[in-house]
Amino acid sequence: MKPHGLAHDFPFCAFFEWIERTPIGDFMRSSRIVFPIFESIHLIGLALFVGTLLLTDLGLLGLAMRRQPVQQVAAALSPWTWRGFALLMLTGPFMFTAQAAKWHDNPVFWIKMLLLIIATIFQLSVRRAIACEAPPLPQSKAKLIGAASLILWLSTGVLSKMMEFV
Amino acid sequence: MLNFCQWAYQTPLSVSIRESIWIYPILNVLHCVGILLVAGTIVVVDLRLLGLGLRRCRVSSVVRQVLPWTLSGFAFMALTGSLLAWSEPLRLYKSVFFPWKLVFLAAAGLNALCFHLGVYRSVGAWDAQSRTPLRARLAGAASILCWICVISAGRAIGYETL
Repeated sequence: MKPHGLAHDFPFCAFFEWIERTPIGDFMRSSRIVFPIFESIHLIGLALFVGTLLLTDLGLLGLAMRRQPVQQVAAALSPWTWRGFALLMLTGPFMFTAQAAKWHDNPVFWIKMLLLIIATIFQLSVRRAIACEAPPLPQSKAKLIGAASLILWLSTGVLSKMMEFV
Repeated sequence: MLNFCQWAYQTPLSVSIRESIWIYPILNVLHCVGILLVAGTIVVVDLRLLGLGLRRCRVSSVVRQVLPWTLSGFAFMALTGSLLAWSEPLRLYKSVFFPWKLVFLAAAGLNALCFHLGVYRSVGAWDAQSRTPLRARLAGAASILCWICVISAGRAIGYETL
């Protein structure tokens, strides 16, 4: 798909077109089954990521996993959250190369990527600290962190699916 | 079955989902959220059964705390999934992967049922152990495998040329 209008002036345009033409981009489009396989692995990683993240966040919100300290849940589940994240990061960029120029023109793609960066930074900084915090966090603070994490990741996920339809 | 699909295709509900610009994508997004809720939460129970996560929590405690979320996710997924299927019954009638998705879904359900009626009844004896009985570990592994198949088959439906 050829970029058009204002989008053409955007500095990344040529770069995105180049990415699409690299051997990796060619490989992703080389057969009808390559892309769906990457997407399935992406979704399996996402399920692992979402499930473990959700139960920790619900624990922070006091809506699930209330019978044990939330630090214990977070410590036990976070390795799996990061394994899911690794699967997402290993497959996502490949999926991107298949149609890089198309994503360049898609505003939802850019919002998703921005949210992804914000959510990842939040995850690595604020939310990660809770697993190590020795005296339990005050409830109000824990709830705030849980809610922020849920909202950030849910909107990132919903936008990822929505960008297919734009 | 073809008669049923043809009848469903021309019902007002099917037509309106198909012809609306918004309803189909919204249902699709919600269906994905639902399936991730189900598969994502059940995998936490499976990891506990396999002794790979939450080892310090009792098995029954994990099951009781996670299952309500899995079941509500399932209801959500089933409702949105039925509406999506209702909007394109003729396409799904010809689909190779749609029946497989249903088979894997049924297998996941059957596996969960066998687990609850079988080895889980004696959970009191192994509740706190990080290494669960072989039958529980097999149920956990089978569940993960079934959901991987459900997700992959579901994704494949979108790429079939029919």
